[in-house]
Amino acid sequence: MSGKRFLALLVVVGMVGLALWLYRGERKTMVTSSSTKLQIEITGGFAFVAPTTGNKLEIAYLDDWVLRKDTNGNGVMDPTEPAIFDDLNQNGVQDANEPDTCNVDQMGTDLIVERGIVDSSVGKTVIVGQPEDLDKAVIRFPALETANIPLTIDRGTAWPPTPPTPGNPDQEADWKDMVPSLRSYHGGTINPSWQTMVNGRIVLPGGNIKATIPSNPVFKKAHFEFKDKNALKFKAAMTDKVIYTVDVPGSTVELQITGATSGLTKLVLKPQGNRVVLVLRGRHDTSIPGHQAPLKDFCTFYQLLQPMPDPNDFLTPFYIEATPLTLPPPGSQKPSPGFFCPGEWF
Amino acid sequence: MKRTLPELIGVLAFAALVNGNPTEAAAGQKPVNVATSPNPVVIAILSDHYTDETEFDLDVQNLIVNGLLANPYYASRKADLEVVSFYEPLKAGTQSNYGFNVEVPSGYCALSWTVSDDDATNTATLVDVAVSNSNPRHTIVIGDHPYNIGCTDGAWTYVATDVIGTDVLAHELGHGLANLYDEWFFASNAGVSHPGIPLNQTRNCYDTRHGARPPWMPPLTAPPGTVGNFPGAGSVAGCDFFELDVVHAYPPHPSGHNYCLMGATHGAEFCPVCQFRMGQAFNDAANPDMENPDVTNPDAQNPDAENPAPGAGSRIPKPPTNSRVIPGTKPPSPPRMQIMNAVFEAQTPKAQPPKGSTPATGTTKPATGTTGTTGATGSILKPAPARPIVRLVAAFDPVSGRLRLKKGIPITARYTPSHRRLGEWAYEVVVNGRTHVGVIPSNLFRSHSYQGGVAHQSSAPHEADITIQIPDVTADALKAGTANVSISIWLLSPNVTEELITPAVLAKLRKGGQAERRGQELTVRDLISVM
Repeated sequence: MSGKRFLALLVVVGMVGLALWLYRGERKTMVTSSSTKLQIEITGGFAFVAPTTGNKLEIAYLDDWVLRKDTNGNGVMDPTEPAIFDDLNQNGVQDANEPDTCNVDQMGTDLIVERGIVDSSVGKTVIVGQPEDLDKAVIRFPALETANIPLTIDRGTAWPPTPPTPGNPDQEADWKDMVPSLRSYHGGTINPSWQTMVNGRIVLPGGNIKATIPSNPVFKKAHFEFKDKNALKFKAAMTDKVIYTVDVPGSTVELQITGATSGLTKLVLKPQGNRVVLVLRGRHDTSIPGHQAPLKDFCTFYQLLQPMPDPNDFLTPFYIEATPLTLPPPGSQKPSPGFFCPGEWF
Repeated sequence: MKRTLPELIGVLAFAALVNGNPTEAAAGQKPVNVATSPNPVVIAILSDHYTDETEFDLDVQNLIVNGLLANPYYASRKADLEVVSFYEPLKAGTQSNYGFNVEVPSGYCALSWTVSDDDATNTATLVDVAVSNSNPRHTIVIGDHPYNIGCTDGAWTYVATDVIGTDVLAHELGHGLANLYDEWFFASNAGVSHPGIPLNQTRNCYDTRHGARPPWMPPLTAPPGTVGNFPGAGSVAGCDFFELDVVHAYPPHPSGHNYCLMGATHGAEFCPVCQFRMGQAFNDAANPDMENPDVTNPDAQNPDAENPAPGAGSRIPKPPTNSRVIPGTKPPSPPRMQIMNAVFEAQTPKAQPPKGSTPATGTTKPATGTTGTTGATGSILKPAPARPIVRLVAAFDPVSGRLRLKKGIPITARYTPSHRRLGEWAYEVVVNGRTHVGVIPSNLFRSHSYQGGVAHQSSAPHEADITIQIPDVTADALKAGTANVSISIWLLSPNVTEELITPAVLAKLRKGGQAERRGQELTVRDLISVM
């Protein structure tokens, strides 16, 4: 081999080596910059708190609440203060058939891993498919805290929605404005102390959130009449289901949990297929609301509204079912008791 | 891979019990839970609206293995549950291979299905054809839809994937396995009286118009541990979708419990009355006496001759060791009626009978000296052998008693009819001179209309699809004319209180004028026409 040929060979070998080294570096970079698709399906009466600035969305689950009369004038509803009630006969006394105006007993919130492999958990064993009690839990995703991902909220700013019901109930996009916003309707802001007033919350810096088709198809063509103490105010459809999606940096999804009474403090999930799917669900113990029945628990969102409207102006949604089939098919259908509790955008 | 002996036995049992010939397992068929008890309740899991088998398998894992079978009650019955999944990809251009429609509600349910005389569209037929290989007692259809809904109708339960993490499936199987009533009522039925539950159809709901005291309340005369003695039970208003004149047994939170799974609460458990009824369902399947020989030949192996006459006063034996005893209330735990838990002994699969023939005996009891485990009363537990069966899907009209056959599906499996009376109907099948009896739940025939603005009302009884098993018959034998089969329907009197309708009991009721033949007897010719 001549000197020139040897030199050329050296150059080629060197270039190939350099290319391989660069490729190795690129692969390393690809690994470190990989991401995991995370989807959270949120169903139930959650408070969605959008940031006024920044990208930090928070989803709060509420505590028990009784609307009380501030008899001592300290601006706070103390447990010893009397409940405000529907004084039907206006005799000034709460009779047996006169319910509290708002008395909501929260049953709790569950987190369920629907898709994902539990890589590790601290404080409690987590099993895919089984509900985890989120009582008092605040959940953060460390990888999102530093990722600086923009937040996209796919909804309009006004409520009641226009049009009041989805043009096509089978079209997810037509449900984007169907999560109520009492704050938009009444005005005001969320109470600055809201984080201490709720049972727990999930902190989501960045990502995309949108309302979707209700969890039970019977609500797709139904609507609700919103009434205050005096009159029908408007009609609108509502959905109880919202979808959050984000690409979480890294090959796993880590949840840091503080304050949970269950003892769970950390959960690391590996994707199943190519994703991790979580379900955040508010428990509810009522059956399917009957035609024209009120969704009484809706009033609980008023506790976070500042200033709080006069209780006579509280909106209550009444369920108006879609036209039923006139001829049900044979059989003794045994439905499961369902539930319907929409969220609230603050 | 290391397997325990029970697991190995379970695998063998799965192969032997589900099909009798493991090589004939249908495409997409997989074991989900392998029972270790000899005669388990078989549950089929069927995919609907799936296009990806992996997704279906993950949902089966979430909903069945980590969900239903992790529920404390069903976990305690895991040994008695044979669960098999069947995957069928969604056919192009359809929303369901079986005629389900989750977008259109019907009656009380958030979904609807197809009822027709056309095998190609009738939902009950299509579901049965898909899972008949396992001869299931009940089928759970998992729909790949993002909804949180569940509905049970007859022999199937439909759930969509968003029921994950809820009680829905455990609740629905209470309907499906034990014919339990709902212990909740629609808001629109508050203050509305129930149309009526016949006294002999009392299960976990009782109609107080028969008398103020429900049968589960502690009577002064009933001995402890018998039907009618449930400590702590009371009379709680509201049942079967109506508030008035019908009651269930337990308030929501007695003694720290969360009753009842058949109600509308969250994270609930079966109350003792519902546990008792569920226990009956499992024990009926495990009872080897379900295959009664000809009552005209009550030999030494005739279970009706050996066992106490079943009835409302049947004694409840000690609870099984694998069931949870609730402290405080001391309810009668899920009973083992007349039998005890058995040690499974691997059996050499018996040779299949020649086509068209019947086994030498109609009982699963071995002759003296053969393998088997002796129970408390002398009954023997061993796996019932697989045998040729024709599963019939038929429409039954409870007004005329007419049975219209829709589809006959020949299979080889364990014969598992239900003898527990659930109302007023029984059927009698005579195969080459041997009598077999099963029951038809009466509440199959009353649907509920859902009318806006007014209370929910029950409709008049009407035709519904049922499944009947014809044992020891093959399609070849029917066509060759070597099998002689007749099917007849019997209406039981309202005063019948026997809980198990066996051939001997039906013969006694007929003799006493408490059972009346209805409709026209069906013959081999009728069977051949639907094969």
